[in-house]
Amino acid sequence: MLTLFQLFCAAGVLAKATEGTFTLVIAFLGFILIEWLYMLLGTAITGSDYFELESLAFFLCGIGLTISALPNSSNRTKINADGEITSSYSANESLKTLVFIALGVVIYLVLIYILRDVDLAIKFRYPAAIASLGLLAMNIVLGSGLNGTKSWVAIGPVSFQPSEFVKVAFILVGAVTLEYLISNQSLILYIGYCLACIGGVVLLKDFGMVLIFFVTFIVIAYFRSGDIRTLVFIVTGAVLAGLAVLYNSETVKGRFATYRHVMDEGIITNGGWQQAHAHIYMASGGLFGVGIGNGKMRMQGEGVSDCVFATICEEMGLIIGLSILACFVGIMLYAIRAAKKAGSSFYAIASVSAATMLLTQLALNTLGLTDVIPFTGVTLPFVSEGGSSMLCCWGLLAYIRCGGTEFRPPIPKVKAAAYTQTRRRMWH
Amino acid sequence: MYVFVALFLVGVLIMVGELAFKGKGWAENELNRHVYSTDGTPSAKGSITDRTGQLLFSIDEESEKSYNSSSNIRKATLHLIGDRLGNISTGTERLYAEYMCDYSQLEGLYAVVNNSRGTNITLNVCAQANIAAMEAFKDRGGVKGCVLVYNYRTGELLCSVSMPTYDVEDIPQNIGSSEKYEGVYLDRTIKGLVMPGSVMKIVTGISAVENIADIDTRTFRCDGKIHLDDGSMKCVNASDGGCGYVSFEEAFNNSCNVIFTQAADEIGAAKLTRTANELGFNTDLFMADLVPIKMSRVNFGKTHTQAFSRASVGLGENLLMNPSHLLGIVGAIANGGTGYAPLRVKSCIGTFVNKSFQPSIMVQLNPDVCSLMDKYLHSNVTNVYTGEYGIDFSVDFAAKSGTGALNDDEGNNVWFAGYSRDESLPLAAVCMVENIDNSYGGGATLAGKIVADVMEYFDENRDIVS
Repeated sequence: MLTLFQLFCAAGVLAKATEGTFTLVIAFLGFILIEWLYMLLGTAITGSDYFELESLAFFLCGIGLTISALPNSSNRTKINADGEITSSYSANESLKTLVFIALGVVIYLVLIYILRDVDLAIKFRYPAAIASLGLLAMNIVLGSGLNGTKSWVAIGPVSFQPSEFVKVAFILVGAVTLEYLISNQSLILYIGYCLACIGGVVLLKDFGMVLIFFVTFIVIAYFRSGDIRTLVFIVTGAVLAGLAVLYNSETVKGRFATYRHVMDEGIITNGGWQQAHAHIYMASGGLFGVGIGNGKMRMQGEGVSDCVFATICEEMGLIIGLSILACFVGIMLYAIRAAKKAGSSFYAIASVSAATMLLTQLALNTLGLTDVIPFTGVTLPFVSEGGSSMLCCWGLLAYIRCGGTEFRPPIPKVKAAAYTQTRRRMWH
Repeated sequence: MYVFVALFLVGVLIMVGELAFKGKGWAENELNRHVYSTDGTPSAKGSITDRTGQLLFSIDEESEKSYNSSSNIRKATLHLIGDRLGNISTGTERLYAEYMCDYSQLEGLYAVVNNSRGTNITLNVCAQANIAAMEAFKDRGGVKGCVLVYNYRTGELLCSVSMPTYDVEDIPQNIGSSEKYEGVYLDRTIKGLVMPGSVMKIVTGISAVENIADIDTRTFRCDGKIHLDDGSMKCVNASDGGCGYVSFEEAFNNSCNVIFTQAADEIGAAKLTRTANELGFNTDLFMADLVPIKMSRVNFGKTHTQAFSRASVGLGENLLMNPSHLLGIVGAIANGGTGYAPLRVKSCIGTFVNKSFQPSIMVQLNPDVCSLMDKYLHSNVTNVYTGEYGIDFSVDFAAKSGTGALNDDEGNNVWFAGYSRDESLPLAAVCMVENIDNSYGGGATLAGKIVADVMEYFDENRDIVS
C-alpha cells in the first residue's frame, strides 16, 4: 500500500516536472528500494518482525520527498536585479533528500544496536553530553539564520543545524540520569546539563526549539514525580521557561501581536505573511488538493520547510495533512503503550520523551502555522526539507522503537524497593 | 501523556473547524494567486456575458484577459465590467471575484487550478441598449453623467452607462490629465452623488402626500417669492408674478419652488427628514447583492430657513442625490410601492457555483401615496414635457425633471427620472448630466430627451425586456 502510494506521488511529480525527470525517477525508486531493503533486512538488527513505526516514518519521508522534488522557494531558479541567474533549479536536490533519508535509517539502526544494551548506552552518557554542549557552543559562535536566529552553521558547502543533534543527546542523557538518579550529584549534573542546553538554545534565539526542549524536560521530570528531586526539576524548568521568555521578549511580543490576527488587514503584510498564505492555500486545497506541483504555497518563503504542512494540504489535500498528524499521534500512543511494558525505566523514559519531542515539534509547526497557537517556526519532523532534521528524527525514532522491543532488561543498580517505587510513579 | 495527546487533538479540531467555517473567505482573499493577479484583479478562468449572451469579457486558462471585439461595446460596458488594471473598483470582474473563484468546500479551488470551464457571470444588462444610451448621451451634448434603465417589476438592470468612458483596448494617452476624462474611473450610476435639482421634489411630494391630508384638493398661492427666516425663495415663474392660485398637481407641473417650500414648511423638518430617511437617505451604502450603491444624503436643517427650503426643492450644499437610489424611488412609485435596487447580475454558473440573484427591496412606499404621485408625474409629461417641450415619449410616461444650478463656471446638473406606465414595458429610467452649460437647457430639454431616446430603443426592442 505504501509503495503504491509513493508510486502515485512519483507519477504526480513526474507529470509536473519539466526537467531532471530521470533524476527524479532514480530518487523515488531509490527511496522505495531503501524501504524494501529495510523491511527485508531490518529484523536482523531491530529484532522485531513488525514495522509499524518505520512504515509511518517512510510514509512521512515519502511525502517530504514528493513535495520538495519540484521547484520551490528554496531550490527554484533565482534571478538577481541585474537579470543574472544566481541559482538554478536542479532535480539533484531530491537525491540529496534521498541520501539523508538513507543516512537517517543508518543512524536509526546504529542507535538501536547501541541502545539494546543499556550498559553500553550508559557509557555514551558523558560523551553525548559533552559533544552536544560542544555543538551548541559551535552553533552559538558560528551560527546564522533568519529573523535573528542562529540555528544554522555553514562549513564549506555544507550547512547543518547542530541543535537538532542535541535533541538526541538530550534524551539519552536524561533517560540515563533518571535511571541512576540516586544522588544529589547526579541531579545537580543533570540540571546543569539542562540549563546549558536550554540556555544555549535561548542564545540561538530559536524560541520553538526552546519550547521543545522544555516540554521534553518536563516529561522526563514527570517520571520522577513525588520526591524532592522532582520538585527541583519542575521549579528549575519553570525558571528556565521564564528566563527564555524574558530573553526573547521582543520576538515573543512580535509573535503574540499577530496571534489570532494573521488574516487582518495590516497584519498580513506586517508579520503575518507566511501564516496568512498558509491559511489561504490550505483552504484552496480542499480535502483532496489541487494536485502535486500545482500549489502556490511552495513558492512562499519556507514553503517546503517550516510551512510545508500548508503546501501539503494545498497540493495533496487536508486528508493527507490529517494523515500526517495521525501518524505522530500513532507514534506517541505506541510509545506510551510500549513504555508500560518496557524492560527498564531507561527505555520507557527515552521512548516517551522522544515521542513527546516529536509531537511537540509537530504541534508547534502545524498549530502555529494555522494560528491555533502562536507561531514559532520549527520544522515538520520527517517531512520538512533539511538533512539535520531528518537525521535527528530517525534518531528519536530509535528511542521509541527501543521502548517497544523486548530487550534484555538491565540489572537495576538501585535497591529493589526504590526501583519498584519509581516504576509505579511513572504512571500516576 | 494521554492529556498531552488530547490537547493536541483539540488543537487539530480547532484548526479543522476554522478551515471548515472560514476557508471560503480565506480562499477568496486577494492574495490568493490561484484567483487574483498581483495587481489585485481576478485571474481565474471565467467570462461575463450580457443578457442576450453576448460575450463582454473573458479570462482564459493562461489568465489572459480579453474584451468584446467591438469598440462601442467595450466603451459602453467599461464601468460594468471593469478595466485591466483594477482602477474601476466597482467592475463586475472585481465585485464578483468570489464567484469566479468557483470554490468548493470539498474540492477547494481544484476547478480553478485545473482549468475547468470556469465561471460565467450573466448580466441583466443589454450591451446594445448601453450603446444606444451612450450614443444618445453624447449626441445630446453630454460629457459627464449616467443613464440607467431597469425593470421596476423585477429589479433587472437593463441599461447602465457611466460617462465619460474609454476603450479599454485603446487607452487614451491623456486619460490622467485631460478634463474630458475627469472621474473616468468612477461609476456614476452607483457612486455618483450630485445636487439633484427639482427631482428632489419627488421626495418632498411623497412627504406632502403622506403628511398633508388634503394635499390633492387644496389650492396653493404663489406670487413669485416666499420669505423665510433668513432669506427668501423664488419661483421659476417669478418674473411673471408667480404661478398664482394652483393645485399641488399644477405646482408639480410648474416645478414651483414657492409652493413646495410652503408644503415643506407645513410638513416640518422632522417629518420631512423622516420621509427621506425612510426612503433610504443618509444610510451610507446599500449593498444590492455585491454592488455598493452610495445612498443619497440630505440635511434639511430648521423649518422655514433658506437651507431647509433649498433642500426641499433640490438645491444647496446639504443635499446630494445618487442616480441608482433615485431609480429605486421612481421604481417604487411605478410598482405600487415596492422599489427594488437595480440588479446588475443575473447569475453565476461554474463547476461548483450555481447562483441566481434575486432583487432586494431598497424603497418601500404606501400604495396610496404611489397612486397620487403617479398622477402628478404623469401630469408632468402630458402637460409639460410633451405638451410644452414637445418631447415625444414612445410610451405612456410619467416623470420629473431637475436642474441643479452650480457655481457660475460649473454650469448645471440636469436630471430626468421617470417610468413607463405601459404594463408590457415596465421600465423606469434616470438620466443625470453633470456640469452642463446653461445653453443646453434644463433637465427636461436635455436629460429628458436622452431618456426619450433610450425608451424609444426599448420600445423598438421589447424582446430585450422579456
